[in-house]
Amino acid sequence: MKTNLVKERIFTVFFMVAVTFVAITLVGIVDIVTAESVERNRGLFLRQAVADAFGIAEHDSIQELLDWYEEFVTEIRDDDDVPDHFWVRNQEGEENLVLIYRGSGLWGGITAFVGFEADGKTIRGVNFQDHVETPGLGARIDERWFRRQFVGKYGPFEELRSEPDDKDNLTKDNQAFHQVTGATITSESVKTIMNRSLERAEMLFSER
Amino acid sequence: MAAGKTKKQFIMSAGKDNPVFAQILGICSTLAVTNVVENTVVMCLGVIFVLACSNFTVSLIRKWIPGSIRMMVETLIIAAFVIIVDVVIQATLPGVSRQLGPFVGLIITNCIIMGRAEAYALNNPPLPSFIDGIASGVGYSYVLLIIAVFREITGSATFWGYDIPWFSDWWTNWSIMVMAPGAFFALAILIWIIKTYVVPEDPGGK
Repeated sequence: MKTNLVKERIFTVFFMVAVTFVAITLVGIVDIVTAESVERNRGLFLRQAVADAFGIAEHDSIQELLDWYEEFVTEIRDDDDVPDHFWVRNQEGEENLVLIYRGSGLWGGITAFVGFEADGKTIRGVNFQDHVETPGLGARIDERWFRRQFVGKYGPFEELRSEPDDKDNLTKDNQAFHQVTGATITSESVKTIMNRSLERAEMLFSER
Repeated sequence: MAAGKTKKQFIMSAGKDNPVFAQILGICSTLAVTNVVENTVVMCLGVIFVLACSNFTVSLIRKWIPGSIRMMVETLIIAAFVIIVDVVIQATLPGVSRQLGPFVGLIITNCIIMGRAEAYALNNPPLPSFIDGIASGVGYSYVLLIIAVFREITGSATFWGYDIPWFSDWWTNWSIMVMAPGAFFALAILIWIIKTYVVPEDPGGK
């Protein structure tokens, strides 16, 4: 009777270990098979974000994007070996800056790639990555019109204006931008992110 | 005969015993991912795959699973399939993967999957369990898709991320429809319509 109980318990432990082993092996195999694609996708997202913040909306092909990055971009990593900012050379040989700023949004972090002209203060482009803002509301900060309105401005941003119907007629005021309707907290977060990025750009250019 | 039984089982699982509107299971993801149709489709495919595979696997080893650890075993099997789905989406649809964020991982906690493993797969052979998994997944999916189409059109005036001709220009977005309360309203209205007109509850039922 006692022997049966011991056998039963040993079988239970053995069964759990066996199922765990099979499950982990299966997941491990899939992970190894897909690891290269996942890593390549991450790299492509990063390069596309840098290009976008620099002001190049699209390359004709992925290879062209990779070649451009290889030739013109110098990646600077922080102490944890994570990309922190990028010096991007333009056709005239001037060094422009693209920095990564991690701020907070409504539901979680927002990672912004902000590009600056060689003068160290004029914005060239903005790209928002890795955010979990509400789709249809806060997530609309990804829309081109919203990002485009920062180009050529040098802040600091103090005023949020309402979203216009005509997206081709946006404010030229250096210290203002149009918010996304129904996403006040996200728009305020973007204001903070942009102002902090301006301060950081000034610091990076002065240190250079 | 067997085909007729399978068909009947499929219709029951996806229809009258529908996990969402009859069993009210899996509501959390119904609220979370249905504001955009594209994300909903990917989520539904993931749930169908995990449901079918976990049902099949649990059924396959059901005679050897010790009763005291059966839920741990089921969770482990479900988690393994969910991680596979998550990794495959990251590798093949990186844009969608970023938008879905943590929700794919949360399929592990979707009560439909554990519910079907416990209620069906533990007591039935692998093939019917597999079919039950697909049927429950399809039942879950079409409810989610109806809600997603309604929410994206009314909340964002788009379909699959694209403007709708003759509609997007004049429609004023219902902002509440892209937020979680909008999903509650849409789901409640859908359940009310289905239970009143499509599958009325048996008044003599206990």
